[in-house]
Amino acid sequence: MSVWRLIAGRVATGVLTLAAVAIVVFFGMSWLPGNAAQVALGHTATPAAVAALEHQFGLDRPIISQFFSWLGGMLHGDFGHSLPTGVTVVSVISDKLTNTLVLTAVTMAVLVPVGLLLGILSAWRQGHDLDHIVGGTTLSLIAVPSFVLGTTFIVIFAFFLKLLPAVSVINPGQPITLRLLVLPVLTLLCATIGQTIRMIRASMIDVLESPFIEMARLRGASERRILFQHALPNAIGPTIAILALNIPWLIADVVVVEQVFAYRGLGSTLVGAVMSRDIPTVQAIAMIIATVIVVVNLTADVIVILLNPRLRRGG
Amino acid sequence: MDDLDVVGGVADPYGEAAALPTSRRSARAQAVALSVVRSPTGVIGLILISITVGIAIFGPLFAPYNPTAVVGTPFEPPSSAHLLGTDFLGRDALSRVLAGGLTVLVVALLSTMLAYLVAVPAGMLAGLRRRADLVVTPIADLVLSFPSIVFVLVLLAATGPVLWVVVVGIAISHMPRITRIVRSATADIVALEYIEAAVARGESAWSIVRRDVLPNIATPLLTDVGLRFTFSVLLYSSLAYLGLGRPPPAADWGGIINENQLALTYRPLVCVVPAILIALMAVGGSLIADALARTIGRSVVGRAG
Repeated sequence: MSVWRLIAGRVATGVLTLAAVAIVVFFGMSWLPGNAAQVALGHTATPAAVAALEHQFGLDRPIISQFFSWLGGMLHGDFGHSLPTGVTVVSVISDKLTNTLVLTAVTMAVLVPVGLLLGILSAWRQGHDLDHIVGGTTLSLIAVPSFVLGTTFIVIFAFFLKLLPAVSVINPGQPITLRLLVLPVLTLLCATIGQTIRMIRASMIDVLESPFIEMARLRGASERRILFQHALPNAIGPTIAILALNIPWLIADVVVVEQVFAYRGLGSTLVGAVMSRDIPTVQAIAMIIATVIVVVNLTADVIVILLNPRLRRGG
Repeated sequence: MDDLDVVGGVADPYGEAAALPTSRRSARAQAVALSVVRSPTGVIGLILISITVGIAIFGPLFAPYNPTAVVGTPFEPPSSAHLLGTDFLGRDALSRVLAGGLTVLVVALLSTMLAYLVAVPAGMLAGLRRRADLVVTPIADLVLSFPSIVFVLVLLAATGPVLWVVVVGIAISHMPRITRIVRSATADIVALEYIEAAVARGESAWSIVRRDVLPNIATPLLTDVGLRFTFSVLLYSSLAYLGLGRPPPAADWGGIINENQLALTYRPLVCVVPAILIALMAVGGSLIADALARTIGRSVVGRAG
């Protein structure tokens, strides 16, 4: 019973967080200086034209009623209208959402096994050469911004080796080819893997230094057996939590990497919308990002709770 | 979500420092600073930071041309007149690189300082007063759950690309972590017996903060500064790369890469040099941060923000 209460608590926290983000995103952007309709129409627009546009998009209604119709619309999948063009935000972002999901999924599919392997190996070989090499490399990778990594890869693979395209432009309706994905995925991988490896290494060392591993060693279990049968199952929970914690970082890198390779995804759309001050689109993408983060963390929490036998039995 | 940056096995890593008398405490702060010079990674970090910060500060003095003046045709190859060639408008690339570091440095320093200026008092208040904690911690957690660059982007969408908003946005994204460190260190110190004795003697909260809390949170804060600075450099140059840094025609390392990216596959040098400088500055900062963190038995695990 208490497991479900625990999970219900996490769900409630998630919903509250999203509500708080919605309030900050909506009211923050409405109260800060800068009239959206004026910006959309440019400095030469007449006051009448600005007023007409404000009326058309409901910007002249009381702010509280605007907030609730915005929130209610979002729950029905209606994110409003993109300001400069007037087309619906949904039509602007739907195909880009797919592109971003493809990019992220491919990256995760490589990141998780490689990160796990290197994290566990360097924890197992703690203090040895392998650990030092992995440690130094990951520390440097973490510090290098993703746009520097991306431009470096473009110089290497498109300028010197002439193997891959420098940009990954995907035209609407065209399938995403592997060739276009290689460099963005490689960049994202290098940008996020350092953090993943170091966190998995730290949690694995915690497990390896716990008394039950010592006991297994004293009983004469082989190192291989200790690693795979005793330590690994106990590192799964922390690893899932680590992957969930890294999602905000992955998203931050996706935004920049999409821009580097002119990849038509949510991130490059967000940057474009910020440039053109297209506030409804920015708000929609911000809410999508917040929802992804909250849902991923919630899922990870629930998995960790269900994996933990002490919690599962209602201790 | 606790301790993304540094991981240690102990719940109260500062308890030891807190229990030391004042003279030993300052000796400990000195030892932390010295340990950077003694560790090989710390020395490499110091060298990298000296080179890149040196270029950022003194570079503008050595620029052979006016960094905003058009002195040739676009994308000229490197020559004796233009050692790195010219950029997309025909400006001298070397002059722009030499002039472009100062903004990165100034924005990173200003936003880091602003973050400490707000977050240290907020963290101390949260550590001292339970009621303040109920306000500070949820706000900090909310900011922490959002990717910093997205947070600053949303802020810039509302205000337009203004440099001081960038500084404030970077500062805000630092604050939750600083507040958290200060809060837990303050709460640990306040729980110690000699503080209870001071309260019982009727000493004012301010004098306790000044005499006992501030010196004791200096060590955990000092070990964190390198990480904050590195993160500011990363975040600002990423924003500048996205075209939201200092507006043109001013030179700015991240902005130079953005402006000249279309020539990446035939004149890469214009972009590669500022990219290397940003990378060296950030790697240097994080090596120093790692050396500092090791002195209190921790290691930098994650990213700074």
